[in-house]
Amino acid sequence: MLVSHSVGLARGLVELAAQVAGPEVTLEAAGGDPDGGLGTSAELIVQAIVRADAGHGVVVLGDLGSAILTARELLEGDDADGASALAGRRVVLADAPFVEGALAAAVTAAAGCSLDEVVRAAEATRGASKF
Amino acid sequence: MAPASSDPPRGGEPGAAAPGTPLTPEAHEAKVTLPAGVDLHARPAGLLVKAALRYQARITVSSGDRAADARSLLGLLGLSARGGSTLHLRGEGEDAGAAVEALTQTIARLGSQD
Repeated sequence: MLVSHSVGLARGLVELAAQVAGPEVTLEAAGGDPDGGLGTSAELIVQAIVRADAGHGVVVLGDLGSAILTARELLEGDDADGASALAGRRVVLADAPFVEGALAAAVTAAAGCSLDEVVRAAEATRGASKF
Repeated sequence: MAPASSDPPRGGEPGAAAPGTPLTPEAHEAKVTLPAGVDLHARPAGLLVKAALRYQARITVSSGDRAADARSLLGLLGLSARGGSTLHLRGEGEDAGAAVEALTQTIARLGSQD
């Protein structure tokens, strides 16, 4: 599940990751505020997590700044509505670069690996050079 | 996925290797050519990672003087391997033979993907 300040950025990365990883993985975007402007929305994040969760858990990646903070607060249960919607689900926020982490996570999830392995694959992209 | 044997045989069993005999993991190697026109970009690299993750064996993919773990998408992209160039696969582990064979076939088939 990909969280971005921008609808276009989140959807574009879903599109790219889906092409690289193939159809075996569910990818969802939560981009922008509920009006479609730039921002982040706990409500949209919850909805995307619920859409993404097929029972094996969900890995969340965010672009930066308040996208990460909003997701983090949500997963820590600071938002009562969010906490009840996510109760019983395994959701992990990965500390990884948005593009590289999303692609690595998507491919690893598509191969049927566990939630922990998917998080590890995403976080293993930290510090990767572009060339 | 086949369960990996976690307990190597130790001395004491009839016919077992003498205590202290090093157990070298099975290693398998193959050379395979990337189909012409198919550079090792994100989508083909993703197919290789998915194939490699089906096996316990650790597969290293080399291109020229660069090497990457076949399970690492970014590692494979970092090889900057061009279509028509030769990749060297080396697998270590219990199912290394099957893993190297599967990756060889995956690479050969890249040319027929859209």
